[in-house]
Amino acid sequence: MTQASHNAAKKTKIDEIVLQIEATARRMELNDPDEGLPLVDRIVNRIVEIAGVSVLVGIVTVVFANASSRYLLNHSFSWAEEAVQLAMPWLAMTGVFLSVRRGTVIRIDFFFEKIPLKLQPTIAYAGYIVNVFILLFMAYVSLQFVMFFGSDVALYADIPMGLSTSALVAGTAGAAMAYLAEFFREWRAKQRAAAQWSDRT
Amino acid sequence: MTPLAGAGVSVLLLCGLLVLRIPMLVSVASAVFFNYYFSNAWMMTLPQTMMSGLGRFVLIALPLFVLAGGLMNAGGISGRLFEFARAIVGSLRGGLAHVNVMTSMFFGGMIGSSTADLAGTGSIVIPEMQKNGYPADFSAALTASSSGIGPMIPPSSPMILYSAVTGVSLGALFLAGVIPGLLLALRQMLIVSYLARKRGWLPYASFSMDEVFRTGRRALLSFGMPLIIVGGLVLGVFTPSEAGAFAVVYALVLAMFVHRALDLKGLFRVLVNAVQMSGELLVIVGLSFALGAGLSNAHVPDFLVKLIDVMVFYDSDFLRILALVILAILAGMILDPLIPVLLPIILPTLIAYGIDLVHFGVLMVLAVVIGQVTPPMAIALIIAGRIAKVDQIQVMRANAPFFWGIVVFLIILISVPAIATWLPHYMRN
Repeated sequence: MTQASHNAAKKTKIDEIVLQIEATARRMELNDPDEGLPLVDRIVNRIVEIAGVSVLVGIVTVVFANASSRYLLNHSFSWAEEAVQLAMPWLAMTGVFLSVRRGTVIRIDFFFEKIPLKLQPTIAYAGYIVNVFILLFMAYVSLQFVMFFGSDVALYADIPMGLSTSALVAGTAGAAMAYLAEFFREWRAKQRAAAQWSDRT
Repeated sequence: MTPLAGAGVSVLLLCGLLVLRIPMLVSVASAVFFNYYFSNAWMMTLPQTMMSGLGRFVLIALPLFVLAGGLMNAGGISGRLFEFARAIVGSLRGGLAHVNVMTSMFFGGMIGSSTADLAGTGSIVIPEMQKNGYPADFSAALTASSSGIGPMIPPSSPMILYSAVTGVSLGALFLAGVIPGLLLALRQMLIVSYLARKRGWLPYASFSMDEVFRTGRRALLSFGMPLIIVGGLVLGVFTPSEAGAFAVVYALVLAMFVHRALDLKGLFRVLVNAVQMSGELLVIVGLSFALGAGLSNAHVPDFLVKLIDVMVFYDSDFLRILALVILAILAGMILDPLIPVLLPIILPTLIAYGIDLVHFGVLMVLAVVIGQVTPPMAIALIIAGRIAKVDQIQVMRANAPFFWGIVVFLIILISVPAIATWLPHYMRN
């Protein structure tokens, strides 16, 4: 093989790698994590996705429009900063709900994997109960907060603050329900597996 | 139970729940409830503190930079950056290893997330390195430790979190990360050069100025994003969140209309990812504010100051900062995200000692980076090890030169704060 053809072959190989890198990055960003889920689950997730995306698009639009208008028209919207701050809890809580539903919440698996296999399911079930209890308690405290202070009106946006703070109630209660559903799903699967095993034996 | 003991138990509760695989969000919330209950605090202050934490305007930058990074990634910049890095350093001995380091550095300037670099680019580059004769454990270790360069270079998610918690200017923090980030990459490349000479690793591609220009042209528009962000912040054109919004619009135009790599369906997916990735972090930040307030009321910062004074018997800022950084590294070996959980606890101590918060911010991000390659969590080593199909312990051993390199760099950075603080001071003047 001549040096030129060797270099050409190497370049083609390298360019393949570039394409592979791009394809992997795109796959990471664009894969639908709900593929294969039951229809009801997909619908629930899609509704929350649309809510979260709408809030995020709204935030980008308001911040971008406000900054552009300040420079181009020498005018800024007095309500812009406050409106974005009021939208943040909804963005955060839709994100939390989706993370819980898709099992991507931040947690440490390392120590759990060191626990004897026999004990792991019991600890996992106890974990579900802790999650549901704490999240429901948070929802309860947030609900009280909304009932006390929800009717306060935002200074510039001129809307009740409860429209923003109620995200804490909806998000934590929704996440608790998602954990509860997950708990029952796993529990039923385990019961079914145990029944199949006893049928076989 | 005294308030201090109650605070101690709530921190232990937090650690205990995390060890039992309870999500970070629930663990922090449990610690806050416990703390509030034993200090007779009004529970209603929890949502109020959370709301004030979430309402910090700089925090809006987090989902915006995550979204801009996602758009750039989906828009196919990773391949262009790899190509450009290959054209510049591919001809050196151990060329592919150098390309790996440089791609991570470029990538950090666009995406701000080390995991995206590791799982995306790493999943192709590690097998390619193995095919080119590099040991599997070395390939994994190099990729894992190189991915840590990203969080040092703006836009950086840990820096946004640090700025939100401490109130330090995000522009100053971004600038402070530039020189340490570049030095971190240089240190990595020096180690690679030494190993390449010792082990006889070959160049990956021949050098050609035409190729540098060709790939540079293809990658040029990608470099516009960090320029918009840093330039806009430094010149005082944008606030951090506005810089985020402009970065989103720039990345959107680039991905959809220039590179034509993204359609509306893909755009929706990238938006969902940004909501999902930033949502939980935002809530953890809000809860951490509540935890920090509870621990401050229990005089934990006073206790920390006394503890450090006992440990650091010699009156030296270096030793005090070192003690706090060691604490951060130890916490970072378990906690991820480290900054929103630890910072509210140690911030009053930093202020009491008069420590430069910009300098400490860079050190904290370095502690996060070290935590990602230090067991038991070592998330970067685990991901890289899985890609290379080698045991985590093997990767850890191969990572030793890079690990000790970063430790030496950390000590230098503590001793010479100007490495981090010179650029923001210079630009301000």
